[in-house]
Amino acid sequence: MATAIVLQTVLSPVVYSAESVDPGKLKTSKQSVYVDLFDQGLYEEGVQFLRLGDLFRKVTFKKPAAWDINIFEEVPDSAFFTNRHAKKPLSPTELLEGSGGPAPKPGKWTVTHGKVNGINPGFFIKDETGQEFILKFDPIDYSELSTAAEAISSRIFHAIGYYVPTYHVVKFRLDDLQVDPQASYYNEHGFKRLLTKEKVQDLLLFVAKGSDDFYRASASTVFDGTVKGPFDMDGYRKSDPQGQTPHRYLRAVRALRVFASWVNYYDLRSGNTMDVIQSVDGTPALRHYVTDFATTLGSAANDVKPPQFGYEHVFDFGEFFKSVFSFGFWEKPWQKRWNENNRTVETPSMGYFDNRHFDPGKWKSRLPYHAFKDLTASDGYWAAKIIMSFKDEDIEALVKSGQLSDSKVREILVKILVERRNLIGRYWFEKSCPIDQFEISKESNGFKVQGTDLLVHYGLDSAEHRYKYHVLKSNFQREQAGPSIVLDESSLSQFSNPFTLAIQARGLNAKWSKPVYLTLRKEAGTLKLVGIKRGL
Amino acid sequence: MNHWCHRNIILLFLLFLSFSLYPLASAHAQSQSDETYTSAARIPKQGETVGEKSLGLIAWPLDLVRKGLDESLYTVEHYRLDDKAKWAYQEMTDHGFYPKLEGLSTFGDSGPRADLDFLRAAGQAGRFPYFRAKSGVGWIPQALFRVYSELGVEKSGETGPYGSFNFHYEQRPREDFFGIGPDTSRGDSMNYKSEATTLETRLGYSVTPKIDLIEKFAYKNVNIRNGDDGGKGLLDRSIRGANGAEFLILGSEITHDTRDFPSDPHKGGVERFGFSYYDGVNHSNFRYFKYRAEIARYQEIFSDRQVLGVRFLGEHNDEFKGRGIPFFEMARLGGYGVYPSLGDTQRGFQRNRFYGESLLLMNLEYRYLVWQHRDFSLDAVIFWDEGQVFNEISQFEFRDFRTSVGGGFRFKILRNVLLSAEIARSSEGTQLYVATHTPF
Repeated sequence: MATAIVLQTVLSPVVYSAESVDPGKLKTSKQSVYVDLFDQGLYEEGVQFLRLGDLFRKVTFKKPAAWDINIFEEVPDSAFFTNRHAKKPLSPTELLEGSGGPAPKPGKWTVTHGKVNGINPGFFIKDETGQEFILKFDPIDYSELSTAAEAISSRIFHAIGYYVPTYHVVKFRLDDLQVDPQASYYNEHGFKRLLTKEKVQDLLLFVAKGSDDFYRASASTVFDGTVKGPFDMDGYRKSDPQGQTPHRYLRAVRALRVFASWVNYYDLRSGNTMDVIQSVDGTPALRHYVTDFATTLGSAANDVKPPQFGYEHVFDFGEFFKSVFSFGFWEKPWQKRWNENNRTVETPSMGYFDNRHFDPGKWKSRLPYHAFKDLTASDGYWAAKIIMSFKDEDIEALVKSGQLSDSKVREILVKILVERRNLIGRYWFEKSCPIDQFEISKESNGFKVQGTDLLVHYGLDSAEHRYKYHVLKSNFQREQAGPSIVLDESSLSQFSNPFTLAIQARGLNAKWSKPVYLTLRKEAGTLKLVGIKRGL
Repeated sequence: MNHWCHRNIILLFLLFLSFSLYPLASAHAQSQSDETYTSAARIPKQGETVGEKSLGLIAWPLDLVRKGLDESLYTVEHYRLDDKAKWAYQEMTDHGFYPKLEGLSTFGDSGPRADLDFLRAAGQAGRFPYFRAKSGVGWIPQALFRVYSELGVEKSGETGPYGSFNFHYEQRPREDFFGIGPDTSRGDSMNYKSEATTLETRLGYSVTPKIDLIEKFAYKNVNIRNGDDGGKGLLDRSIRGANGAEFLILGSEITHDTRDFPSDPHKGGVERFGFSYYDGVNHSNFRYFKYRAEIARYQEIFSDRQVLGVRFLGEHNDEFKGRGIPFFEMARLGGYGVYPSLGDTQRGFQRNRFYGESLLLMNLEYRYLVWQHRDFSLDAVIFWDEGQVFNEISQFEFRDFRTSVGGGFRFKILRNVLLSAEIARSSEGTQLYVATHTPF
């Protein structure tokens, strides 16, 4: 029986979490598509050359390390992120449940007002219990497209660890709807008008309807708490005294790019986020929500995804200049893929979504946030680890939440998400050092430091790997076939305390990976891991 | 308490200690997993330092401007001003009023224009779907003022007859004239003011959806005076037409249009042949024939992103029995060439730079797609214009061809050109063009 007494004295300061907040001090930020498009799509692309810090990073290709990581390169729970599935796998039931919000109770629903923002048609309803929901619909020619995407992707993001609303796929008949006499909406000309039952019927003429006379929608609960508007992907809310860290330095924000690439969340932007003050154990706490998943997978909310989505930003100056100076002779990857697809979408309920020419490192969202540009290899690695923690059965369970009627479509979607998961895992593991899950155990002649090669563990690489070990500031170097090394007592006695063990891996005929640095401390006859650092 | 009790108490305490510490002890030697999500920070930073913030100092003034723009954009979106503006425009057009932009394509030459559809305004468009009754006015400060009307009948199907009666008045206070022929110099420019009134009847017949025949009969009165630009020379009164003219015009035109999409053709072409007879009336001692031929072809090359367009244009004005041709009715070359009665497309040269009895022109364009987002797209264009004017056919010489080259971008919505910005270079300088359509 081990009798070592553990004395963990943590001397490092605490990672910021910006949890508790004074609701009165926080100003509400404004939500605007036009502002997002202008600020990020045009303005920042030009002005970044005047910001010396950004210019320096562009010229030197150096990216700053994330500030919200702990000494083991993990992201502790915060107002942005909670470690869920990767920390402790959720059961299929928990995956299906998502963030646990209720679905509208079947029965009579009262329409209270039309949707204020966004391009999907939709309206707000209250069920018979008085709970309010937002209903959004599928485009008329693409039944199940965006409602399924919303249900599936929101649950994926919840399982990953983000705060998301719960989206349920619901069905209803027109007769189930009644309209509040005070209900209003904004018509296509921008004028506020009274919403009548006839107008609701007119709106529903332009949405997909099932053959069984039921309308299908995605229903999400209205936020429980005080809504304070979207959060800034790059900056921070100046009225929040706790949260003065620019979000571009947070791994939890940067890694959104990797998670978004998995579900093809093209419209990931500030306008599709929401800060909400909620009561947590009686204390007001700020939660940063990611919302609106109707533009994920093969859906673009009111249409199938156009072929260029995921390959280019809306204003992509790099791609633009490449096109101009190639004089039209360069066929872009998305054009090649579109042509290979005969420029058609074969499955209306799934839209345009596959892994042909999918490059995890080159995937792009609509807008080029600095947070996404600052994504380092270790940020991507962390995100890839979380994505790889989803087994095939987990993905099957998540896809079930989309309630796609065609089992073949469900199978194809699961296959695509599984493949995509593996492509992302392989890409980011190869960019960093894929050794993780370290264990230290006492051996007869010293201590064994055991790691797991995630590329091999997940079956992403079948080639034989070799590993190189080097203790910094010493002559200790080893190269061997397995991801574990025994540090004997005589070697240990020569190392400083603490000391740093650098580990690199490579596959057959490949280059050595970036190193992962383990900081190890000798303490009272034990060897303790006190820090992990991965190359940026 | 006796010795046995003390010993047992100590043993019990040690046993208790071992059991309580065992999970901690074994876990520590096991793995990092217990502490994996510790809140101990790697980088103990909460915010940017003053130094780090100051690295963005240069951009601060622009950030202030951006804040103002953001507020404006937010206001537009929040109050749905864009939707309301579209609604307002739709309401105006539904009631027959069409506000537009009048442009001569050279950067800066633009102004307001408005068209009125009388049948729509009277709410009778549905009752008389094939009738046309329109008027309009356009104004470009110091460049153009015009008023026009049209009364006509459209064809009821893809083929069949159609016709109209048109009135057109235009005044151009400041037109440049450099002389007649290919060897004129910009230093010889003269300035004139023109005022033209045209009454015209057009009768057309669509033989097939692609072939149109048009017959026209018109009366045209042109007054010429010295121009408003005092910095240039006055018009030499010995030039034919310097005192204006009055005509009766009889003309025919046949068009064969096989373009797949007229505003953004990728395939097909246009062939247009016209013949007109001009007979001076009252004191106008002019009589001549005008022949005009135009052939344009468009072809996708290598891929559908890349289109090559070429146009050949020829015009010849042949005086009848020595009665002469007024200078303002001669073939003209120079400018973007999209406005009726202005010079044909020779970018890089001033509008109406060259006058001559005859004209030969080639425009070659290579258009290729550089950006696309949903229904919006942007084409880059590289062009080469080669043209010359001459009088008699015997005076044609290859060395008189004028060359201009350039490039630009065309922004399109659903293959309709919304905005074209081009820059052209010729031996006489560089010109920038902004237009709402393509030259061919």
